[in-house]
Amino acid sequence: MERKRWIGVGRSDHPHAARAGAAAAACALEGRDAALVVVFSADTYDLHALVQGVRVEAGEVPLVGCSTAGEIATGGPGDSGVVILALGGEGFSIATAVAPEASRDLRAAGAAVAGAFDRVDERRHRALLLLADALAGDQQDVVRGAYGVLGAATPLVGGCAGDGLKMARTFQLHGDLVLDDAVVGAAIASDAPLGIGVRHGWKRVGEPMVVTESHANRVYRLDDRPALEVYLERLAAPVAMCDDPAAFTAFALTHPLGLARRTGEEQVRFVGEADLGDRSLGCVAEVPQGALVWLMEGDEGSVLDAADAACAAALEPLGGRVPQGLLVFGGVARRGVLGDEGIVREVRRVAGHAGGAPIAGFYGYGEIARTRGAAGFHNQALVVLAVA
Amino acid sequence: MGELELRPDRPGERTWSTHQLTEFLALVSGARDETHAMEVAVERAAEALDAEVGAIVVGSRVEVALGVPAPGATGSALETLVGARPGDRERVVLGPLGSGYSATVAIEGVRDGRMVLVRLGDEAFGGAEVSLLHGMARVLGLTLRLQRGIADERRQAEENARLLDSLRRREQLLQRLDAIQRSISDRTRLDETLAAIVDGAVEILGADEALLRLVDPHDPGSMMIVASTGIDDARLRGLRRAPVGELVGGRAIAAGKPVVAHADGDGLAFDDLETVVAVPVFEHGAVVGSIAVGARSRERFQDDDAELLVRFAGHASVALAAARAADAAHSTFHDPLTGLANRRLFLDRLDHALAGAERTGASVTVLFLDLDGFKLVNDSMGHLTGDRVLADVAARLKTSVRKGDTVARLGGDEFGILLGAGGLDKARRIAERVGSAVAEPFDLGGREVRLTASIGIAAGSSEAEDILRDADVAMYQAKSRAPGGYAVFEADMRMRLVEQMALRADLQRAVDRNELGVVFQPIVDLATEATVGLEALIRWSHSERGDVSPSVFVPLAERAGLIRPIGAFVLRESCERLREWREETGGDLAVHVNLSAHELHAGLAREVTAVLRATGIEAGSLVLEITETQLMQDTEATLARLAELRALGVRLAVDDFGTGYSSLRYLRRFPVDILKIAKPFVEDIDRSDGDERALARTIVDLAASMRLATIAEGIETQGELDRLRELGCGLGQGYLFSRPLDAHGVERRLRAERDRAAA
Repeated sequence: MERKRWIGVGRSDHPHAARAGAAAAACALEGRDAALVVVFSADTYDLHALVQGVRVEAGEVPLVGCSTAGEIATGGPGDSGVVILALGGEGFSIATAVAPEASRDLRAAGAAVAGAFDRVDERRHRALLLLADALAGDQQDVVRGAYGVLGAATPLVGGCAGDGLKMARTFQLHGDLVLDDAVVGAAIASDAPLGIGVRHGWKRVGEPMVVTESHANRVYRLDDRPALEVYLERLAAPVAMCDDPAAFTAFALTHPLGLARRTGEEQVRFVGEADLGDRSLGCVAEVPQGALVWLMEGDEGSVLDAADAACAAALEPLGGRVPQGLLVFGGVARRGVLGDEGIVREVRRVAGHAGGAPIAGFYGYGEIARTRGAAGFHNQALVVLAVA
Repeated sequence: MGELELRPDRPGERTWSTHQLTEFLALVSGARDETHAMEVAVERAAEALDAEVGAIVVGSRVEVALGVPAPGATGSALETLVGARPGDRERVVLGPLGSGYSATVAIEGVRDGRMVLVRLGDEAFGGAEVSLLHGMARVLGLTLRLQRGIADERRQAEENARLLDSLRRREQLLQRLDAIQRSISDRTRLDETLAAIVDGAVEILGADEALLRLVDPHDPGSMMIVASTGIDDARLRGLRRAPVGELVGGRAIAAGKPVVAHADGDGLAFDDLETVVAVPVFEHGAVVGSIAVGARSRERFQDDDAELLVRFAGHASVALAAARAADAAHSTFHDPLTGLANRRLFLDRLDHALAGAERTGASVTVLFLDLDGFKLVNDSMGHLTGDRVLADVAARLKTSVRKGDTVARLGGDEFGILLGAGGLDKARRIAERVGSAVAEPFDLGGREVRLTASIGIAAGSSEAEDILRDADVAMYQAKSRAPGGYAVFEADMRMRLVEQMALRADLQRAVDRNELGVVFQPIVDLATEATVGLEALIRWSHSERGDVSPSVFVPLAERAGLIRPIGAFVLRESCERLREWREETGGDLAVHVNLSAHELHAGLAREVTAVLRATGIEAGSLVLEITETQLMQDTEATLARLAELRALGVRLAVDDFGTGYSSLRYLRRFPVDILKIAKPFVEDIDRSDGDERALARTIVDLAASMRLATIAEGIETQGELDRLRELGCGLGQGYLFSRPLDAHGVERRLRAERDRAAA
């Protein structure tokens, strides 16, 4: 039996899915028995084969994971690879759960996954790790469902899967299952502290706008004019850009909306697509009707400072202890602002805070971090879970 | 909202609050009912004001709460929320959640209704925030009043619909019961009548499923299912043979009166069912069974449903009593499992046919059929599965014969067919038809099982018992030639049978006197052609018959129960020889021993341990080979035994890989170390560059990705060797390297290799 607590991270970009899975798992496990394996993989792999490969090394251990729009590991960011985090040893009690066909009832899906805590021993610290599908609808509802079950005593942390910015189909992994439109979760109870930090580093630009018509994550009108028109006009962007969905997504990535909050940072909402027919904008989470929004922008400096601040906030509850490892969930828009070299710097900064401990994570389509208040879905932020 | 008074604490807050309220109104007024409206209100208020905990309290009752799960654990927190009065803005302690500041406002239009929020930490609610909360509570109050009006209207409409529905149901009920009564008086088969009863109950009650159970007359403590509808096979298996007193149906039997159970209060066995109603079925005043109907939605059942169900139960009673009389006669002459004629009726009909034949001078033809491998199915998958296979076989036999033929179950897995007309040619055609009908795969709840039947045919005009015995002898002959075929009785077959009995006795003697021998085929490293292992192969040199092929005596040994002592002998012999070769030549070798399915028994791990200990061979040098087909036959038990062996440190190889139903899935489940590529793949590899080579490559790649070693079997040419090297196959065996050798031959080979290496 393993005694000491440990976290291991492995990565591979072997072209053969099963081998990549096996190699990354072997590296993360180093022959130890894990209590949980977390897999972040490029969607270009045959994920069934990849999971089988992981199984060869890890056996029947609880497994959760998802596809990404870029992987994060100790050595830096990457695309088209797989990163695996394994943790085990003394003082963990972990159970996983999955809610398939989440879009039928996202709130129920969040609640169902939170139910994994029924199978976990009582420990001093706990957190629910959630991996979801942002393309399945308003992910704040997943947070609401989980919060409704767990309440204020249990922090929520995680992110939404990616698919390399194709915005077509993302995957969630649970055990041997490869699903889309699912929420997977791991209920983690631990003797040692778990810290969570979240920051985005975006800043308001110009005057606020009122959301005069919206439904869930679809914004129809801003300041009582078609939302798409107002959006493009404010950004001085040509309407023709909307003809190419990929170009629009790439552009919108660096121009999110910010929702006014009572205190602290605005809640950022990533604009995923535009509908030329009704001239509406599709966001990754709810933009409530009547809300006040700003256009947001970020530069490399502010976005990287946010990474530092998120790490510091996550490490704070550890009381000076060096973490066993960090789990990192980054909004894909950060890649748009930072560029390929910028994200190398971002991951290096996070690694600097880890004090030599391994880090694993991914860039995806939304981040989850609820430590205070009842809301907890973020966009374009960096969420850090520090495990002591 | 116009009169809403806002007292801004900070510039800009007015704008912020007004918009929050608009958003809040849109969401709360969209709620589907009162509870939902309250849930949305608390949730959105908490989100807007950064509060962790919220509640709607009416009087002393918490209608909805957010952020305080598990009421038992945080009872004190709920008490705090109930105690909050409108106007309170004070510091509160919420049990384990810690302390924070509360804000409480009254909900207009709801008597003694309050909305309470608590923000954990040190930040109290500001004036503008409380003002916003007032506005939200007012919106909620209006919405709730509106919702109540709608709910009243809905209730009235539902009441009207219920009355109509009730009339309609009564009419349908009468029609259904009438149809069932007719089928009883028409003497329709009991199973069909009972099926009509469960179908009718489901339709009239608007249920999703129904089960009719009877107490097992041979085991009055348990129930059996005699009719069902709406339940898939897998669940039906789970429900089969529950004890009386358990499940809702069993409780109705035990209580002798209707039982209604709900998922939340009564813990139904299947979570998708919300409500189950069961009523007892009586016969002559005693409870003999029950009908249970289940629905996935709670509203589905109405108050008078148990009463309706009692009517169906009454008809089931009548049907059972009517069938009982006819049944008594039937069971004397029929096999209860398959419904076929039993041995008694078969012999009776055969006698009758012989009497007729005597008059016309013709002969009577009988087929005797025995299932091959049935025992294995029965032993490994359980008697229930075995029974199901027998019932399936019976059904296939019935459809394979003509109307005038009699099919009977003679006992165990033996069946007889008495031909109504026609001679041996006809019998051969029927044997072929029956053989292929049985050979079709059996689907046992998703697991595919294949069986064959060996068939003996005999014709005659003498005694019924004699003809049946001749057909039995012919069957035995067919089975020993090759299972799955048929044979027509010939007079000398009896002789051959005797001969085979003699061979079996000889084999027994050979085992007792250690007359069996073992030879070894070298396994080589394909890169260097150096010997790395030896596969042990059994040989029998009979004093009179000469060498008897393993393909003849191994099946014989399996049938005669001799395979375990033979297996034990080969294992011990192999390990002892291995120790000698090592002492003589110092080589690092493994020995491979084949396991027959019959050897994979519970005591095998113990036997292996004993042999390893006695010979001093470490477990890692012993490889046990199992064929792919064996692996597939009974996964759970096989898996457990293989895991036991592996735990000893013994390595496992899959023999003849590629010839069975190979799949990545089962390879992952089984703890194997080595794949042996079957000879046909190796033969084809050099002849073509098409599918076969691709298949061999797939096997090698698959093995590599799962970190398994590969051994190619039956390598005979240099070309095959070259191709296998290209594919990356590591090990191989075959005549190209060496024929099987006796122990001295092996020693010579090893010495020669050692000397070559030293030179």
